[in-house]
Amino acid sequence: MGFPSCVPRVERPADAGGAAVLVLAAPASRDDLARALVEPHDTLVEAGADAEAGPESGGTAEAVAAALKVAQAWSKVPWAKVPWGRGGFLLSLTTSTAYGVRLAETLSEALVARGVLAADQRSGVELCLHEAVANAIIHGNLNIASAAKDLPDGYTAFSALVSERLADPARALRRLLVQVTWDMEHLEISVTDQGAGFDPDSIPQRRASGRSGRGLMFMRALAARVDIHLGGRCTTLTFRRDGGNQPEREGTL
Amino acid sequence: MEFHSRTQGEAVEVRLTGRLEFTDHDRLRDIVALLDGPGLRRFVVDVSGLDFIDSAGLGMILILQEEAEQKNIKLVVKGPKADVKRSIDLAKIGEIVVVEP
Repeated sequence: MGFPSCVPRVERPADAGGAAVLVLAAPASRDDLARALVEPHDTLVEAGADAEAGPESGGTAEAVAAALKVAQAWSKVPWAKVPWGRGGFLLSLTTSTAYGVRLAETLSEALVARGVLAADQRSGVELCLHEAVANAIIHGNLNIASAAKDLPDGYTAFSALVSERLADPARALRRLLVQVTWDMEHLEISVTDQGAGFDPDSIPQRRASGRSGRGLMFMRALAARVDIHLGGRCTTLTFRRDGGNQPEREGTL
Repeated sequence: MEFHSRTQGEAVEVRLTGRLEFTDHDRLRDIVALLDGPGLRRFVVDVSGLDFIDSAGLGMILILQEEAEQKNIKLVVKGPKADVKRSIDLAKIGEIVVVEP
């Protein structure tokens, strides 16, 4: 049985400091991603086209080069570098792919397979990561407010809005960046979007009856620490690898 | 998420399977439509076959609860297990919706 055409290939761009960049042709399926995530790499980039080039350009040499450029630009941001002495990798996907590949589940499975995450801690990490990814996709890159659901018959309007925005290349091809790093004690996962950001102080601390804010509540309950930076565009989740994930110190949330 | 429903007298039971999450809003309309059954008094959402629920999924259960309330139908969430039970407990959904083991 031959490999599908989207089998990841490794590139070592000259200005990436010898880092192995695994390139995944777009649009990547869940299986493509799952397979690539257990390969050794520093950066995994879906070679989805950028918004200007349109979705059909994914997989071409130009698209790969463009995706690498995005990853390199990001890796020059200090927090996007895997710090010395830590394991980790950077994953860059288009919004439309991130929407369809059950990203948190696929990534958590890969972390268990790589021995980074204990199987009995997976579900807590997966739920927090899922909420961070869902926020980054819906509120970040697709720029849809939770309030959209509060109108009469709001969930129908909401799901129509999601479909509409996913069909708009300017939004669907925005990047979702996930950086995973770990040391002996902690696993840290940052999810960054290219949306407009938000004011973390506007999220209520405790809210059981409303329709929004529950995702952050899950993160606060299940991660050792939650930090929101980059004006609300980046959520960093910190977990203790020994599983003691009661909040250990105050994060920004 | 997949669902199957069956009607028994004045009650409808909807069994959800798979994962109920933010990508499932378009399926909610079909479940809400089941509340329009004639003479319906009780609406049971059986979540024992669900593997995962996120905050958006819990929001969908609250939407069902509101729709049921408006129609004077009693909504019961039945049989949450493992991760689904943890999410329901963390979000204190039991303070708003009747949750049965």
